[in-house]
Amino acid sequence: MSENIENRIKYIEDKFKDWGDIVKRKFYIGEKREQAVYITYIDDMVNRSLIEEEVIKNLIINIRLTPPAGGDPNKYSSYINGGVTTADIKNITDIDDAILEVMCGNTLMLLDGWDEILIISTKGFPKRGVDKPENEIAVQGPQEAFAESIRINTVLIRRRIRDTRLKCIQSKAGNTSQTDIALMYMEGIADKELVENIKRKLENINTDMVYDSGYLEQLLEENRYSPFPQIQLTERPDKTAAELMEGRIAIVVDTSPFVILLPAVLASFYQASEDYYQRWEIMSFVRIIRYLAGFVAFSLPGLYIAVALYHPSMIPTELALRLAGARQMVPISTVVEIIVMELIFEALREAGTRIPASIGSTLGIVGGIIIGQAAVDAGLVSPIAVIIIALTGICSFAIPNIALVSAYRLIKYFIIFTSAMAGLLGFVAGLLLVLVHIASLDSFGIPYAAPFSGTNRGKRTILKDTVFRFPIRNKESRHFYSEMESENIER
Amino acid sequence: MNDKISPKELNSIVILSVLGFEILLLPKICASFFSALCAALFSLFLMCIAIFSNIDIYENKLWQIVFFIKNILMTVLLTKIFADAIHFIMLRDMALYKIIFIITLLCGYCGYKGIEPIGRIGQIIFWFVLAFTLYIYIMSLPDIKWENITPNINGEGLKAAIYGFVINSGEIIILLKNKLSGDKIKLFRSAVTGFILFAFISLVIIGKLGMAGVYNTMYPSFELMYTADLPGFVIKRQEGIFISLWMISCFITLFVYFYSSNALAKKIFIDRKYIMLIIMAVVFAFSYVHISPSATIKNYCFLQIIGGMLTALILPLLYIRRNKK
Repeated sequence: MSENIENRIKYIEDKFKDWGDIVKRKFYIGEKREQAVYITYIDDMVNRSLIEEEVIKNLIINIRLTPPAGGDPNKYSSYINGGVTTADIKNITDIDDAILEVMCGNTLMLLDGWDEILIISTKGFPKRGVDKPENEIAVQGPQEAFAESIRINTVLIRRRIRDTRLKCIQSKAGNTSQTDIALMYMEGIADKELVENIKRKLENINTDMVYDSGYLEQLLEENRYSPFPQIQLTERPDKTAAELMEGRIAIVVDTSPFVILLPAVLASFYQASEDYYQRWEIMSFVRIIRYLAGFVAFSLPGLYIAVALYHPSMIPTELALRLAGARQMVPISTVVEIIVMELIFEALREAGTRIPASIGSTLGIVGGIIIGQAAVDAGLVSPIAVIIIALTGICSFAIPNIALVSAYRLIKYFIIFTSAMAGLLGFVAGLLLVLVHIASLDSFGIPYAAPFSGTNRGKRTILKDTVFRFPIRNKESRHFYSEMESENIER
Repeated sequence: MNDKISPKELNSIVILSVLGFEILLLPKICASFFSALCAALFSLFLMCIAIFSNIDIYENKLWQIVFFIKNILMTVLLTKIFADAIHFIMLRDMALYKIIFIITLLCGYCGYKGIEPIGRIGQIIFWFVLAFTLYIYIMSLPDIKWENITPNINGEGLKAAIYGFVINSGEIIILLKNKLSGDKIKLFRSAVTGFILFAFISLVIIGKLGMAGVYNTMYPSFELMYTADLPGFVIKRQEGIFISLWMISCFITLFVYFYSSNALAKKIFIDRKYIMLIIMAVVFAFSYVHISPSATIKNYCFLQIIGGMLTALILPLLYIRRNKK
């Protein structure tokens, strides 16, 4: 670009044509007002007082009153050093990069005759502060959640790990959105190759928009057709810090209150940060409940269909008679009954997510009493079907990760289908098919089923922080993920 | 996925194969407990040969062809035996072809996915299957009538020892050995565990049902599951759980045969994805040939006497000799 300020102003103003929220000003500084300066920024995306106090006021008034000492041979450096009294500034040469910086909330400053462009960090977006977690609720432990600002989020992590090994590499994703992302990892703990691999993947992302970490999650996943989440999202800074110490990598995405954690194994979706804040006995018990609940959440309706349709002789006689009695008046088949009830429950769940909190209780009444009780009374469904669906729904809520719950929701229908086709054989075949799929998944080089399989670790190590949560002082491996990566490379 | 399997995973697969097809077949075939013990000992011997032999069936063209033919026949017969057992035990109203279709589809998919997922599944489910299976057999221990355990190794016993070849665990080790990422000596553990398990299960089945009971039942291990007097603290009629777990063990064995057939076919013919589809079609078509369940078992035993002798004993032995030279 030409260093002529007029040409550059014209170029910038052409780019920002019809931008009602752009603020621009050209003024003159220096003892004799000989130096033209042009400043532009986006209204309300910047910290206005910072620009006015630390930049404009200094340049227009202070420099004139007390001109910079003549030690500096470069007059432009003198103006900048004397007139811009903020620490975070940078010089760039490409005008398009400078325009991008303006769109990120920074202030662009041109000096006539100077071929570089000064970018002053003045970000000051309207943003939500640190709030309580809404999805990963913990009774005991920190009550802070990530917010939509990348800087708040990185600070929340840094506050917990005061170590120079915690690295934060910043870049942008999305050709149009140019969303800020920060790759955080513990140097010396996280696997080097994995860090490089993820850096490469982030660089190669080719998409227009990255609105949320969910976008990035889908772009980074290796098996895009799998319903299972291979990357974990968390809204808890304490969990993120703990996972970084285990050798995982965190990606903080601006505008998203969820941080990406990778790699992720199936067992990690059953862990909650609260598990480590309470006594190990109770949390081990809770973990077992979660695993059982997870199994019930996707298998119970299928198992019921398999047994009720194909193997009634496997049910104890009294129960079989009771079931037959309850189903006597139901006009639809067991499979249709279960599927319809499941779909109604899905609709209720979806409505529950969207409904305003003030009328949320109405949904409970409608769903529980009207649909549940009335449908049974009318003989449309059997009470056992309602129990099965309710139990499945309750168990799905016991899993601490919503992405895994969603995967189980889908798998449940697949198991229902296979069980309806071939009873227990179909049920077992369906389960094995899911298991084969899980066993064939890798998350950034780590077997998804680890540490239950795909590792040569002993049973005790496997049990210590998966199905059980042994006392913290007994925890042998502090860097599970990095150790798994090296084990996988050796293999 | 690097198509490798760890010793732990291979150990799980071998033991699951003992808990699957072998407990389905051998107590019935063997004439007495001591015959079954001979068969189990012979199986241990085969597994040791398989472990210490350096045969690599995927390298030599001739062995590729020999093992491929044997494998395909084994796969067909095992699929048929498995489908017959499921048809007989659980799904009498369902057409046999549907059962075969489901088995072929699942095993084909898993075989196509490679040996690594198979090994991982084996490792994941191993303790569930082992614990539940042992539970039912341990709970049946008080019902053993010791007069049924006769120290009898006659002609029938000898026959049983020959039928010992039906134990395919040794063959599984040979089929998967070159995929092993670890010390092969570690496999010795599964050989010994397999032997102990098989001897124990045969003791319980034959001891409880007696040889007359075993002869009069198509699948004695299921008879035991149905008649086991288990405390009903979880649910009454728990045999559904055990049958499901047994099915999983059988599936694991079949996965290995489908996988190795696919791997060998790719070496012999052409490395294409659709090879597995052809194998599945062949297995489905031949498994559906109408033969009675007992005739299928006889054919299987015959194949194991002829083919098993070659693939699980003679060829591996040759490679032990070659190494010594």
